[in-house]
Amino acid sequence: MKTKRTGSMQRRAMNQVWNAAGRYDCEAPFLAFKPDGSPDFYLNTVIGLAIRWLDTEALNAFFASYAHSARARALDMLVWLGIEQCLYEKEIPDRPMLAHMRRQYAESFFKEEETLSRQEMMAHNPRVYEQMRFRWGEVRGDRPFLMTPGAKRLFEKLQIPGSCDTKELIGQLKNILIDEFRFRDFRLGAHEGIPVSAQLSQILRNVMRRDARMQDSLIVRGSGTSAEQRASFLSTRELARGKEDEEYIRTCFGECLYDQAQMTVLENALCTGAHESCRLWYAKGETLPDEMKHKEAKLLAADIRKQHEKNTAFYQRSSVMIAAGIRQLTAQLDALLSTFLEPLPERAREGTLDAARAYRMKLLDDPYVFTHPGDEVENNLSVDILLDASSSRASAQEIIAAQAYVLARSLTRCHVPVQVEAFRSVKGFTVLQLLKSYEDADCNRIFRYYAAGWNRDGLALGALEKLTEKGAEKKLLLVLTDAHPNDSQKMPPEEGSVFAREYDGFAAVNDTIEAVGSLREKQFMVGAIFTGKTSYLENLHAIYGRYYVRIRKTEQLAVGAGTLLAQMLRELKN
Amino acid sequence: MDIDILQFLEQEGIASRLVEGVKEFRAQFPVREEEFRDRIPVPEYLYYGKDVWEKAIAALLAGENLLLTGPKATGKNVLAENLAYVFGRPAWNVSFHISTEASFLIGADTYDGDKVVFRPGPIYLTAQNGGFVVLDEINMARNEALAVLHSALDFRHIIDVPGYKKVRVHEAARFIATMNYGYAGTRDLNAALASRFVVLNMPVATEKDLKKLITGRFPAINDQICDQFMKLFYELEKKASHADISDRAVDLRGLLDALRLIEKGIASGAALDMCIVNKTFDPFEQQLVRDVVSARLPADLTAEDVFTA
Repeated sequence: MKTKRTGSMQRRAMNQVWNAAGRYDCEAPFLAFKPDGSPDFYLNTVIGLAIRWLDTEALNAFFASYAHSARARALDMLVWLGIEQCLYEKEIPDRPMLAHMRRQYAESFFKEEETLSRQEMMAHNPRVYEQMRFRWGEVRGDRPFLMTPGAKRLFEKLQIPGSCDTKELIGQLKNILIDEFRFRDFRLGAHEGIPVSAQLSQILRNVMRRDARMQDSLIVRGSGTSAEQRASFLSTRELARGKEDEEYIRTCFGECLYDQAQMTVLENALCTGAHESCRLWYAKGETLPDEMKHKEAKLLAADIRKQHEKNTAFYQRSSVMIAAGIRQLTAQLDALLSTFLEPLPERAREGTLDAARAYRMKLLDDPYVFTHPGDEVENNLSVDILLDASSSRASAQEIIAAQAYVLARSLTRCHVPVQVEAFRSVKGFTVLQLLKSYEDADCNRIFRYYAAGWNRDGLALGALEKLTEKGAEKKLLLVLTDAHPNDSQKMPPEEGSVFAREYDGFAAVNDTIEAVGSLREKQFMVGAIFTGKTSYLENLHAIYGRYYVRIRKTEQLAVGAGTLLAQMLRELKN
Repeated sequence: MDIDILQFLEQEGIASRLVEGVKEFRAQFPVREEEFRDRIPVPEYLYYGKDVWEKAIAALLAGENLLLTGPKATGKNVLAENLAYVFGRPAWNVSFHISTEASFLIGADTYDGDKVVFRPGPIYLTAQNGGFVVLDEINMARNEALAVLHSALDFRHIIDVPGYKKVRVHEAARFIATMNYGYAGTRDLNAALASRFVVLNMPVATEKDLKKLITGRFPAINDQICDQFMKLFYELEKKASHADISDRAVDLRGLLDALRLIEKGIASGAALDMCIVNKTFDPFEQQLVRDVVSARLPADLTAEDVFTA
């Protein structure tokens, strides 16, 4: 019954949580999904309300304190019933609609119940499940159930009033577990020396399994893949190596931005010729959390985090220089763009008299003897900044991130939509990482730039087009490069040969020249900002023609980039 | 809306000195010509917010031009229109766009069937007749186009139309510009133009003022439902300010329109869809907005449910 959740479903679920929480500065600790993969509106609202009304840290610690128990799953369900009641009472005066949402949820609970198999029914803790039926039956407005005295006592205890604060709520829940379930073995994660996050993941699995079985609904961590899905990955270890590599890439760089069908189309179109044996991955570059399967990926994630910190620290240290660069480049761009965007005159019935045509009015009755600025000139320019993120750039990562930031920030200030991507090739995958999209106002994600792997420039440039679909009609592409394409994945042999060719040197440069040419045919203006070794200057010239600028120090970036952009815009206008 | 605006100002608690100033201004500059009397806007909505009212009135009484800045749905245009009404001046409206050019603002050559003549633009007419001109989204235009305003806005108070004549800006004329900072396609106003305005940052309406606005227009609205509509607005505003949705759905006018549709017999869900949710054209964004709406208001509210007071 479970379907794979797409990023958009997660985003929607998070929005439901945030909306109920009334704040957007928190990670949603849990997310709830229905069996069809769509977000569970009511449960996500309850999760959001927990953030709004309760001390989530204390609540998480409480969950963690009994997570080691074999009955944790059943206890979780019970605890959530108590929490839900308390939150409902707290919120209802402010949000009368909650009553309606709750009733709908109760109805769906019984609807789902009809589809449960006998095995699924037997998997429940009967006392807990009975309480759920009582609760949702009451909410649905059913006639009061017949209850045993014990069940009635528990039912009443679970009616935790909204007046309770977190401490009182946890106190009451704890008493229920002690008195009704004879559970006393509460452990504090910190005292036991067990990291809370590990326990939380246990809870998570419990809560999730509970929902999967009982309500056909899933509650999962706020980001990344669900634990259930991760489990299924584990079970597919015996699958082909390619699948494993894909998992590795997913773990390192996050979910692909496009679905399987779209990726097949893209790979069929782009991974041909010299890139026959390659694959593509588009991601935001957010590594999946601790549950990572690959040890190597875990180390990489730690490295990425470290580099992020270094990039940010460099930015902070150099903030004066960076701010000056932004100011300088913004001023240049502003002047450049106002000329670039000037509308062309067109003939009109009113406006500025075109003396050379004035005779037509008298002789030909033609009223169109005036000129008028032409059709509305939209801001029809967007810029993409593509960063080479291969290991050859490892020694200058902070500088490259800062340079990309200066470029992106200046363009954003001039209201030009700008997107920043990094590319690298790992395990045969060319990964395009979206560091900032056109819509993002925030440029700080650029500091997630991290250099590792190879660079198959030809494929990356070809694959970039997909990411620029939302760009404007006229597109500029700035590549921050060392003009030295090379990849471990070989190219297929030339006709008449049986030896695969290295993706390096002349062949790689030629392939990149073709890719740039193909982009230019598609109305991209491509230019390069070169920060590499002098020995690759020849490559640079061969690949980018006259549209490049060489930067030796970040201080030169504003002037250099300004000149290059002026050159490119002039060309674009002509 | 038939209103005694001066009485409204007094009710809002605006400083009496300012209200007196407005009265004197109106007495000093009466509008006699019929064609201009028709141009005095009668506002559909009133602006609520004592602090903003006082600052705006003081600035205009002092002869300043006003630049109203702020995000969407802060009532910039409502205030601009209200001000023209308060001061009893004919108003001209100019919506700026990237192709707005000087000749459109000041005037352009045209042919009257016999010869090329000057057809005055809104700025020229305002200057000549002592109107209030609302320069809407002024930062959408290119700075070159706006340069013609410089001499009208500063101490010179003139507009010089090459080949025609020089017009002295009427003593009662005021320029009220609005801008939403950070919209795609907008630019920063250059320092020269910005210095010719006093800038009033418009805050998002407070709950109290928003309630007055809604109940002022819909006096029969159920109090609890009015609260939910207000909270819906703030939740959408918060979501947009965190960039989870665009600000298309943060539409106060849309919210009031939805109430109007409900009043006419459309169910709340459909009305909110038409006036709020569907304002965003991205289906995913629509879902996000609909989730916020669904967590506040049921889809089947009728006019009888909503207007019970």
